[in-house]
Amino acid sequence: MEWLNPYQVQIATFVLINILLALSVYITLATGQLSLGQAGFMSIGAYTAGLFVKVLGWPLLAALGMSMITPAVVALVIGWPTLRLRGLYLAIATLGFGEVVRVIILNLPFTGGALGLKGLPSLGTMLMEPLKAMGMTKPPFGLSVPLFKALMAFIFILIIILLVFWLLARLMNARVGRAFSAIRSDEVAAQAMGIPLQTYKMLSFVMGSMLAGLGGGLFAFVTTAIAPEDFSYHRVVEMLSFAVIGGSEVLWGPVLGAILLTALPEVLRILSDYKMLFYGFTLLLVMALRPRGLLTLDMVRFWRRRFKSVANDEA
Amino acid sequence: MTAKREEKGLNIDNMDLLRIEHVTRTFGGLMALNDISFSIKKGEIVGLIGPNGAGKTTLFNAITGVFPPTSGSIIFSNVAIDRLPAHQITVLGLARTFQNIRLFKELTVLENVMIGRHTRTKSGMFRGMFKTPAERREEADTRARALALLERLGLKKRAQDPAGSLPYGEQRRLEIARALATDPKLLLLDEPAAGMNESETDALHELLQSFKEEGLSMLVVEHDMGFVMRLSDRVVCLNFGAKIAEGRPEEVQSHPLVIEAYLGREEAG
Repeated sequence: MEWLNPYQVQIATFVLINILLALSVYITLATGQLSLGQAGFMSIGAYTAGLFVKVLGWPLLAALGMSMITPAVVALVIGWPTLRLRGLYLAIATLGFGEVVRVIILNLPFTGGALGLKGLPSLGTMLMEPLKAMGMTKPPFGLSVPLFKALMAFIFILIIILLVFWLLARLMNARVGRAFSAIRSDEVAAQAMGIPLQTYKMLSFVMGSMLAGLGGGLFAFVTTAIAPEDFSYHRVVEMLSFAVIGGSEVLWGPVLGAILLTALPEVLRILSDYKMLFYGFTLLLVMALRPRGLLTLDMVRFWRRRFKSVANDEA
Repeated sequence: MTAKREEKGLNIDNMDLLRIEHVTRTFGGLMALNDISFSIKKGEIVGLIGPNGAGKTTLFNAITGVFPPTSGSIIFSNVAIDRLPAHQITVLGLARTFQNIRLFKELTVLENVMIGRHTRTKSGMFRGMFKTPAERREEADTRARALALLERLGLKKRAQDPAGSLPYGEQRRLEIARALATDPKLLLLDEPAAGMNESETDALHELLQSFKEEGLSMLVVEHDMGFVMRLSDRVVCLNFGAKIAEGRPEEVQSHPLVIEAYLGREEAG
């Protein structure tokens, strides 16, 4: 197992968390809403999960559940006035929201201020507990303990991502997903088709906040230490660039964006010091050459058709 | 029931599908609609004509809740709709097309029509995510109905194409298909024949007549006079936001105010 170390697994784990965050941007954009408040929801999720485990001693799954419910409640409250805003105005309002959340967390008595929450139990450790209880003393296959923990965390998050992706893919192909796409395409026409704009915008906004919150909760247990600066404006830009560069028309777009933009700076080590520069430059290039993102609906349709005709020829 | 309503002094004529009563709409100081009243009976096709800027599209927007009237009332199937949000008006059975085609361009032709079924289906988030048997049945039904409508409007072979890639005439027909998917009692058509050639216009006439025979009522804004006069049971003419004539097509056509509105008045002397 020389070729695989816990560090590499952790990078892969961060790729997964970023996929979740990218999907949170995607689902909000699915109704044409540009929310810059995702980092705010992420931090609410992270702190909720951290505090529920550390202070109240809740089990992992329950705490992760809370890391989705709390941002959802906040999204319902702030969504009511802000979702009437369009385009840039919504972006500015949600950007303000993100900053407000950061400042509140900085000043609350139980969030640890600027130092944040430290010494959270790691995801791997928490996942090991039930196995230990069942009498497992050593990791199987001769894996070292840190590597085994890292792998457990990776697989746990991978299962969550697969589940989220699968549910979202179905939803986008169903009545609700079509209503989202209609609103994104033309609000007036969508309304004329009898689609209540506010209801569906709220639904997509709340779903986005839940995914960002879950991403935050997982982030807290992977890094084991969170601080307000983890959720500042650069985090929003990062999430947004996943969706914009990967393409926000199809579900695979943000996934691709998150994988490329998280993994590339790690693979090309020289780039990691210039990460934000790299994002900026990539964003510029993609906007110039493929303004709708790397993966677009047309492309997916083209390949699907191609695939179908090949399948028909063989049959 | 009827007796009770008459006691209250409400004279409800059940034959009137849509009643527009003293509808006025102002934009700032501009009076876009000025005290318009007329009604549409069940199964009737009413033509709405008038020179550019007469207020035809504004009236459509007032009826469909896009820009509600400043004053006056609009009653559809005995329900006041002038203060209802646009999407609820569609639920009651009123559908429209747009003068400047507003399709969901990136979506396929089939998806456009399936979106039209939104108000007549009910699968929510959880049913959609978990594909329950009820959801599968509803989706199959939605798809079948959408395809049947596309077949009727001659767009079935286009079902999987993006709506924005269709030629103009087909886009107009797709808008009609999408509006019909909402199961309307009254269909508002905003210049359905615009940009169509003669044979396309004839085909459209046939199509709309066949819908009429099935009991669909229509309000049609159209600049093609031959088309609208041939199609309509009655015609209403607007000019500068006010109704200047109403009656059978031949009456309106020969009405002096209508001729004046279209051709201008010859100055005496």
